[in-house]
Amino acid sequence: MRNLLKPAWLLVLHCLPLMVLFFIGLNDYFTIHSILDDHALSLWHLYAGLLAFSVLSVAVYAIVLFWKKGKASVYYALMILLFKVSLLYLYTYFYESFMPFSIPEWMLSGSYFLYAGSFIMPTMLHALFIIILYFKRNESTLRRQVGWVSLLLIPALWYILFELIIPLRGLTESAFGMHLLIILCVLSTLLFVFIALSKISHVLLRKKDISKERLLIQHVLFCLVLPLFGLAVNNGDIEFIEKYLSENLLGDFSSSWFYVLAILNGFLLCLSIYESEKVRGIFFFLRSSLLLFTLYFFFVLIPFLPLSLLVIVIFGLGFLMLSPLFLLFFQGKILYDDFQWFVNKYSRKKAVITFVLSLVVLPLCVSIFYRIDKKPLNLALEYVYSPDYEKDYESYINLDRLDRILTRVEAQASGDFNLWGAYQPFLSSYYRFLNFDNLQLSTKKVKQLRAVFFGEAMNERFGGFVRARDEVVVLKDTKVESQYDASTGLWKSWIDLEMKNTVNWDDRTYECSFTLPEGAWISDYYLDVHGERKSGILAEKRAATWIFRQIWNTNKDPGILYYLDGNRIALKVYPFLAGEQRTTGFEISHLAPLRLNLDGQDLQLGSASTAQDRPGGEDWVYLDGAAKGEMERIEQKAYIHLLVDVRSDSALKSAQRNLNSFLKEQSLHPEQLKISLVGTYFKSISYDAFKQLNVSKLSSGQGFFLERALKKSIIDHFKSGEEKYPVFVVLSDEIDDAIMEGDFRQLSFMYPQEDKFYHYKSEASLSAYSLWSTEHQKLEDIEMLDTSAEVLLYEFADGSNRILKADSKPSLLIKESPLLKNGLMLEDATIPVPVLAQAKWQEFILDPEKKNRDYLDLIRFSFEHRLMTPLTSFIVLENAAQEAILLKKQQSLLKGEPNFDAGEVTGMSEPSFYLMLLLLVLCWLLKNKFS
Amino acid sequence: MNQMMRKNAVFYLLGLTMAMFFKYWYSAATVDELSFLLSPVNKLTSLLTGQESVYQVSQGHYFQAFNIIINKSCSGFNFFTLCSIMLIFLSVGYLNNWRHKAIAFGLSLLLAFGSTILVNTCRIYVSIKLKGLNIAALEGAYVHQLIGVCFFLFFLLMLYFVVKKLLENTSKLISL
Repeated sequence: MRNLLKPAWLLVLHCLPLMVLFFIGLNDYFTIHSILDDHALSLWHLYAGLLAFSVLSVAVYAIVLFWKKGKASVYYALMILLFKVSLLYLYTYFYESFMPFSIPEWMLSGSYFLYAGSFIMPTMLHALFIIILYFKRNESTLRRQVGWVSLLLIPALWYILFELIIPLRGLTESAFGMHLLIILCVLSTLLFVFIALSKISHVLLRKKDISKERLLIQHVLFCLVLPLFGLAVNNGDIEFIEKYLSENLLGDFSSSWFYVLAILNGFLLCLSIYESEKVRGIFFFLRSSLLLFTLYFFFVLIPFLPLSLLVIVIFGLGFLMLSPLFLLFFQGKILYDDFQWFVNKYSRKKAVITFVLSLVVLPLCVSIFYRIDKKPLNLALEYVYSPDYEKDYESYINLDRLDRILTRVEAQASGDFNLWGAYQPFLSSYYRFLNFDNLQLSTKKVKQLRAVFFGEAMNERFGGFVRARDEVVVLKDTKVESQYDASTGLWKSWIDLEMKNTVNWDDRTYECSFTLPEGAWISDYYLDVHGERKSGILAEKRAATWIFRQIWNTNKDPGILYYLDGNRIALKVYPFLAGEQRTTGFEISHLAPLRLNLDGQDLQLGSASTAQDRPGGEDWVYLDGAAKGEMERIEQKAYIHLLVDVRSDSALKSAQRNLNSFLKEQSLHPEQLKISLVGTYFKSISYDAFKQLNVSKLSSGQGFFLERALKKSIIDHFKSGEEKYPVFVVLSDEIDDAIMEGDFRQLSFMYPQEDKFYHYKSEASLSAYSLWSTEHQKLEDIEMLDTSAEVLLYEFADGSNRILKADSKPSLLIKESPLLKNGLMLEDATIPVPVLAQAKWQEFILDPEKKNRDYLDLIRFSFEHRLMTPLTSFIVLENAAQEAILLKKQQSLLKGEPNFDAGEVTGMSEPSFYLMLLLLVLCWLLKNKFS
Repeated sequence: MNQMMRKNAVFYLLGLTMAMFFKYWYSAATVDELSFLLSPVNKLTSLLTGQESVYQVSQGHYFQAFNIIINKSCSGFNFFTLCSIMLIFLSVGYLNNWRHKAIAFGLSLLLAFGSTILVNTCRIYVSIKLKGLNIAALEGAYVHQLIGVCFFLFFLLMLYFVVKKLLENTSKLISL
């Protein structure tokens, strides 16, 4: 135990935790400093100064001790204790000024209040240990001064004091009384912990004098009964206590693993009394490997140590908070003895290696256990959101594991109240770090995964408060200014919008959505905030929409512009006070003059009088309405693609029955059909095989993932360049169960012949549904399917062709592969920059798995050229703090995605720093061993 | 050993802090900020291969002829950090004078910088040559990582022994 006086412990237990606390604080400070008032700022500066002073002075003291080969003195401990008590006191007393309530929680990295407890407490405990060791030199003094009775006396005195304070309220109302009470509380808690620790250390060191039976009783009590009792109380497993305390107050430790490990640890520690020499080595390894289990609970409970006295007074259960501390004491002592035995029996080097290896066991098991979940989750996410259409997912997605990880995510998101605000303190964060790269999986995504893989209904679970569109803020006026830039071959049109709140209520929002014609992109944005024109920040879309939602909830001033689906853009400005008029505007870069419909106003961007060549090149072309009007129209024939719901045997049987009536009604031959089975997965099958099918061939998953079936079929049709086009007919009794959440509109350039799909339920019930809209609403009941369409055919110079919709809207045709050159957006003076970005986006639509690999390239390209893409968004924020948060969120989102570098570049990457470091250390160890 | 640790604790701590700072800085560094490493490597690679590269802002130096890009991930900064700390730890152990140790600290950084440029160029050159062989077995990302590990480890160890020998000779001379 005297080792605790060595200067290295000052660095480990004092400097290190305080430095971590300092950096966490610094991180938060940089985020929020611009919205703190002068008083709060001076408090932050004072607090940072005190922390820095504390770290530096102790570091210098430790270095001096190193030099002099000295040990920490009791005066140091007393001074540190006094300093830390004052620090904690100041911190607690001024917490409200230090961290005003006006700062929203989402701006901070976590509960700084609890962090302070977690990181300052080890220092104070260490100081207490030093004092205890000082007293132990004269054991009789200690025995005289402190006794078991005083452990009961302190809470008893507080109980009486509380009972008296209530009638004498005056004490808590005056500032002096409050100061006095807090100081008394802090000092008595310290005294209480001090006495408790010294008694325990006394018990431990008396080991040789007392009988084995008595030793066993002590061990069973402190190493087995108290920890188990503590776990049970926290988990609400003891009925009569459950009535008074909230369940899982300190975190959810209800998993049976916690009990198993607690019992195993307790047994191993108790066995230390009787164990033989033969098995001691193995027991040393096992006990060391469970040390981290004890340490984990020690760190979970340490911030609440100051409350232990209070909880004893109120509930009488506060001593349970001390149980990890007692346990650590016992375990530390036993391990130290084991270690010494190991050193004597083998060697110090072997003892150290065994100890270090044993420490790795538990984290390794936890990591493996957690990490196993990552693969099915990643595969499931990839399958739903960015699939590789050629890959076999079914064989690799383990549904049991997926269910486990989703359950965990749901539990974490449900926000069950507990003091740590997390499901399992530290472990949940570690789980998130391992499996989600520290990102959140939104509730919507979890629901969708459940619907796709487990067939759970989606609608019921879309709960939560959704703000309806505000229609009281209207567009009053618009102004357009266009200019042609011959060097880039682009028109630049600024559109200024004047919006007005027409009612006498505050906090209204302006919202509108409009469709950008093809060949037009948004390249700048501004919003007037308090009379100042603020230029938009181009940010990653998920980060921008996330921060916009957060600000919306706290009534600050943002404006945002982003892609909804396909070429549809959303514009939102918030808030509008009663009768307030505000100005916003954005710039559109476009290839040719065009008309734009914006919130009911028809705007002309650019004029046809300016001399301009028709935009286009070898691998891309822009066709406006006039050009399309001159093209020859052709008629294209269709075939029927049946998408059959086969989630259950009854669904399959019903589909087989309905198929006959469908063929009869539409006068179709089986040869004119293509049949695909749709469940969670999707596969095509011949007509004869389908008729003979008697059980569902789709083995796993119970969802009706129609989105996947439609998207894959459309993409396959486009890539194959087949002569006929498909008309999709869904054969299902429950079309409402179909999962169709993604963006379909972006696929419209591949399937210009149709904008509907059809549903056939039973005899004479054929209905058309909208394919491109996000709602996919039912349009009309029809009798006969139309099996031909009038389209336009464009032929490129190299002979390849593309089918176009026969309308007067402009079209931009891109042959993405030749334009991108190995997927890279290499700038070329002959190709306008937005066309390159569009080509890359088109590549993502065709091969969604490429999005996982290259999406950072497109974001980077978008930032460099200040061009909004479906992955980025323009946002204006009110203050610097919000901007700092946006950048932080963006950074974590961008880091979270795999394959940071483009595929071709991977080969040039240098090896990992840590791998090299490990190898270097290994070489050094080997060299020392053999030299 | 313990005595040496105590004697040089300040430099060791300084070295470790510097390495930590380097890692922290690197995590947020852009390609443009890493140009002190990337530009010389790019120049030397051009010289060796006889092919010119195109600099793409925020992306790196793109060699169209080989379809490779020299960017942040292949800057050699990790090697530079490791090499610096290895040389600092090695050199201060042989010196007794504080001033000499401070000079050795600075020289270690310079030597690490020079070595990084040379070793990284060699690594990239070999990778390009292997890529040119068009052997499927040599195409995987792990193969390139393995080449990187072998290269860097070999040069780090070689540098260690050469500098160690030099320092031993120098300290013998001084003691004479």
